[in-house]
Amino acid sequence: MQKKILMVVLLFLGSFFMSGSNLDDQITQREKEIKILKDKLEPMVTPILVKDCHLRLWISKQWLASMINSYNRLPLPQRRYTFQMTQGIGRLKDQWGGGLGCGFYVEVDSNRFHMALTVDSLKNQWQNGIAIETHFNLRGRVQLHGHVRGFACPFKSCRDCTVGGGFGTRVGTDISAHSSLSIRLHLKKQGNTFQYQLIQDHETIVPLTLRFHLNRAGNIAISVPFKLPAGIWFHGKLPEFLEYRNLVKIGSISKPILSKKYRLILLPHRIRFIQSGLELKVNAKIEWL
Amino acid sequence: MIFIRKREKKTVPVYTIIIFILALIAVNCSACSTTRQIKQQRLNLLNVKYENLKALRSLLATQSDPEISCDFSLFISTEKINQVLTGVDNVSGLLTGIKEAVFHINSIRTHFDDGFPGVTIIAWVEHTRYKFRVDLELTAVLELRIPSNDLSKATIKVHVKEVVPKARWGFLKFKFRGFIKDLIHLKINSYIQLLPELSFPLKSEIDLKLPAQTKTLNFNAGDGRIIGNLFVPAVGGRKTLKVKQILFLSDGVHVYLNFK
Repeated sequence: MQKKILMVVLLFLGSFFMSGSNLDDQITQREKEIKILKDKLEPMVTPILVKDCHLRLWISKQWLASMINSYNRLPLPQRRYTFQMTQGIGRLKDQWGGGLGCGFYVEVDSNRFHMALTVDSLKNQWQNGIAIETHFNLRGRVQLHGHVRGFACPFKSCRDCTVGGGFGTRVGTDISAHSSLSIRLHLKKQGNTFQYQLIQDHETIVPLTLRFHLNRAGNIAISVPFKLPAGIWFHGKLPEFLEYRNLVKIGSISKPILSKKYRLILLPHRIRFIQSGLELKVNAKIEWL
Repeated sequence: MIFIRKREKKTVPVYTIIIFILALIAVNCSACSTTRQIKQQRLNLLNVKYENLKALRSLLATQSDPEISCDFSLFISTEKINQVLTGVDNVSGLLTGIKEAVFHINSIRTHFDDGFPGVTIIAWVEHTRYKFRVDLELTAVLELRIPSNDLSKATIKVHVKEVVPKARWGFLKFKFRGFIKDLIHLKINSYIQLLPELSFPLKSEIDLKLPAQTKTLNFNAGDGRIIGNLFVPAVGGRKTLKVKQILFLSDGVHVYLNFK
């Protein structure tokens, strides 16, 4: 009986201490396994680590391309750019002939010249950035005022002009053209933010010809090379992902022991197109409020 | 008689030993069990670390760069997270559930390992009446949550996995019992709510609208020039973000998102 009690006590003690040493063994074993796993992981993880900034935002090129493609599915009014004339300088055609000769002139009647440029499709290409080829059609209407000073007599030999101002007419004419232009997405850091720009690098000329008949002046064709000048078409700030003012608190939500506000001041570091997309790197300063 | 006396002499030491051993166990049990519990916590922590590493490895084995399968990614460095955490350095408060106990947090710092969002909390708890102090070093794991019904913020909650306590009373250092033991073994989880909840507000909806604009055009027309306004319509709209994957790596937190 006594031996049995002794055995039980010894077994209890043995198992008690054994359990402790068993835990030590398990810890050692696990640590070894973790080291092996970490060694295997290192070459897989290293390429995706970010070392040179505090915040990084990446946008995939597929997503950017899908945004451009989704433009093609927009309703027509959102793809239509309208032009309205506000002022004319000089005349479209001026062959008035001075004080001696006969002739005519043509001008836009009371700025009544409007056009609508509708983008048919956008096609994008990724070449260390986004190049966008825009195909569009242009339709418009111009109200022209023509003025002719006719000859004094109906014979060909008669070259004298009529006395007075001659006669004028007003005529409306339709214009239409199909063309394309190239724009590209440019990104840059500006102050404490990043800016995007849609830039047209080269001037694009849409050849338009106004054709109409002006009585005795006959058929007149006026070239109106509609010029889309090189420059920035759109610009704006890239969306801000992180709010500037945040809160850190300790304790329960209803009764925080400490609640401190801070402001995150973003300092743009770099923006660039990489093979997989667009990368923005930002450093940040924290200011406690 | 002699035989009987001999038997009595033989029996006494055995019971004495048993009583002595049981007394020893009783005296040391709490300390031993605490030591064992700390070891067990250590093992639990290592197990969590191991599982996280395994999960990361299997993820990276299937896709070497998680960015490939998403629209956006956002990275926040460990350095910046720790800088935010300095805001709660040296904070004190009453400990709920234990009378006259006050906790002090010296510092909370992240130490992300690849696949393992670890946090070390240096804190101490004191009993104001007995001037008894326990220094605590807690190793916790961060859990980043972005509620599906509120994508406006990412909340980081802290889960304690390991506690290493050192008790002090005046200049003496102690093994611990009583309220300290409670603190370590049973009540830690109830104190978790005292740890900071960090939130990184993320905009769930992003405005990608290009505003309507008017541009002045000036071009040749025949012998003259035409000047006018080109009206550019507004395009775009609001898009909703959805979090796909969150990775804690040694450099910081990587959040991978898709647009809905």
